[in-house]
Amino acid sequence: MAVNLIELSPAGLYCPPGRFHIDPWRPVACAVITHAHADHARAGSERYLACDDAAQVLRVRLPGAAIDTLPYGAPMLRDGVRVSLHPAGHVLGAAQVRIEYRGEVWVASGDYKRDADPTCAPFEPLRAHAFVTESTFGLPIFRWRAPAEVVDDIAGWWRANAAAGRTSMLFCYAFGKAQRIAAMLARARALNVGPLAAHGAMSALNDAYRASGVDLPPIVHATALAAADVPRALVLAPPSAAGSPWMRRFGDFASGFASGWMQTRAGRRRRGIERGFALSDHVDWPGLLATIADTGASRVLVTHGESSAVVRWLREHGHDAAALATEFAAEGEPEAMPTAGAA
Amino acid sequence: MEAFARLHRTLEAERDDARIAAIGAYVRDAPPDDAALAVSLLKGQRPRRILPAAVMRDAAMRAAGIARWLFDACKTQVGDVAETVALVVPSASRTTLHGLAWWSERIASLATVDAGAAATRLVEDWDSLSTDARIVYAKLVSGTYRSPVSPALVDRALAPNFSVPVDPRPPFADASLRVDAVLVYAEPAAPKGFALGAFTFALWDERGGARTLTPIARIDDVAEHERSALEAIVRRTTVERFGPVRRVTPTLVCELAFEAVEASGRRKSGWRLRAPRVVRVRDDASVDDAATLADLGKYAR
Repeated sequence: MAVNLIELSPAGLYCPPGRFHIDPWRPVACAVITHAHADHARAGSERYLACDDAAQVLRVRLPGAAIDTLPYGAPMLRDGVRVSLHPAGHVLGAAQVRIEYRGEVWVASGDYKRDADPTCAPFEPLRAHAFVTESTFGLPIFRWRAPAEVVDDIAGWWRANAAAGRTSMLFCYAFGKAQRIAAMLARARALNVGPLAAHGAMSALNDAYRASGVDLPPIVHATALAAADVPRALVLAPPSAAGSPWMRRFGDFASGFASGWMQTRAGRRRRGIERGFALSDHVDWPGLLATIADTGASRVLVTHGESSAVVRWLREHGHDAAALATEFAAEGEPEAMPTAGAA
Repeated sequence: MEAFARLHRTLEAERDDARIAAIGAYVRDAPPDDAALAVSLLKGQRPRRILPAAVMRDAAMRAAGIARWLFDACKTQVGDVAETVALVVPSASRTTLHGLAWWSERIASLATVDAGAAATRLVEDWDSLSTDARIVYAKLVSGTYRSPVSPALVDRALAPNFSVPVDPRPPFADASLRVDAVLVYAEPAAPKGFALGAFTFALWDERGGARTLTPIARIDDVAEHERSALEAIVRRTTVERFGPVRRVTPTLVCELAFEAVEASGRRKSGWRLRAPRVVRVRDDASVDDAATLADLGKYAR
């Protein structure tokens, strides 16, 4: 039997022949980073390797870190192991890690989605002998509607609030979701309703996106909104801002939340938000199963999320599947942590 | 059906001015038979159960190609069979323009066919409905549809220039029971949420001679609008904390709806409410106006 190209070590996912970790949760010598969300890109490692599209954001998240970058698809050889990064479609710079060694190919997905996103390269299907997949939304209740339809709903909600003279406060993760929504609202030609604004915690990330060449519409700093513009504005805010004194300036605002967890009524109620918009940067159930089939992998290892349900389903359908007990957060936790440059 | 499903979703989420506008718009734009049925449902008429939830669940499992354990895992996450059914079935391949009244008759006719034919019909019907419409459909089939608003709010929405043209239809039983109760405790929701989870309400207890407030129900089924009013009161009036539980000064009266009241020896109040929920904050009522345990006893069977 071939050697394991990825296994679980105390510090995280580890490639023994290549002597590197993937998204380690403890400091290591060499960390390959799939994307810059806080639970995947932790500080303290000696060297980091990430996709060049991720570099700008990663430098915001890991100030001072030694970061090497690779373009998507370009191979790097390390101890006879051929490592390359491929688009995962999750957020800007998100990568799948492809590892080839002595004819064996393993792919670690990182977080990924199959839906369109104007702020990052689309997911690239790869063939692999073994596939390590995320399973954040690994239950059949998670079937995403077309993202453009959800964004149309957001635009309609914004329009109705503006007509009623109420600020639209849209909570979403500061890195990825906020920029995706901004870009999609621009594409839906919805920005004539009023100014698009963002919480200060998002400014550095918006700048990093622009510096990476992503086309974002003008986004006003929320505290710089003119008083007359406040009731017509849509304000993108991180979940951690909810209930903070920062929000008082917006008076009687309408609140919304954009996240895959908004798919269920229980998810909407748990957040205590008026409107939920099920827009996710993670793969849904049909996308997860299709992706696993696309890889042709005979072995599937399932990380954080609904791993037990996915593993059981895969086994019942003839796959060699197992769970990997990673320490990645469920969607929603990473952005609750303070971000570099947060205000 | 899609229009009523959108209305239902709006009523679950929005505040009163938006709710009133949405009811008004639906009633104005819908055909008269749809409007009449919608009004009776929103005013608390409860639909009769047409099929057991298990028949619907099994049909949904077949349509989704999933086993019982996976349906149950989904149900645990969702918390409601009708919504789980609506979510697991693959997206519709067709659309229909039929309204609430047409669907209601079609649903009623499910009772006249055998179980196999009913299951086939369910899957066929789901294939032409959005997720939100499927939730309403499934709740009408299982008899679990409950109005997200109070009858008084519906009256306010209809007040300007509208009268219901048709009487409530035969498949509906009595409205749920109502009582005015006082908020006494609140506790947070799941660790990650920032909303309060459950609220405990009390009624006046005059059994011991003195007049004290005795808890009668702990409720987590609170619509967002009422939830924000409750949270605001909790923030202002918390007097004590025991771990996650906050005791508040009794100041807020809410109208609770419930399906039945049963004697319960395990509870201090002596009563247990079935399916209690908050329908409205009674800004117009003082704590003294809340009901007594004796009032509640009159509802017992």
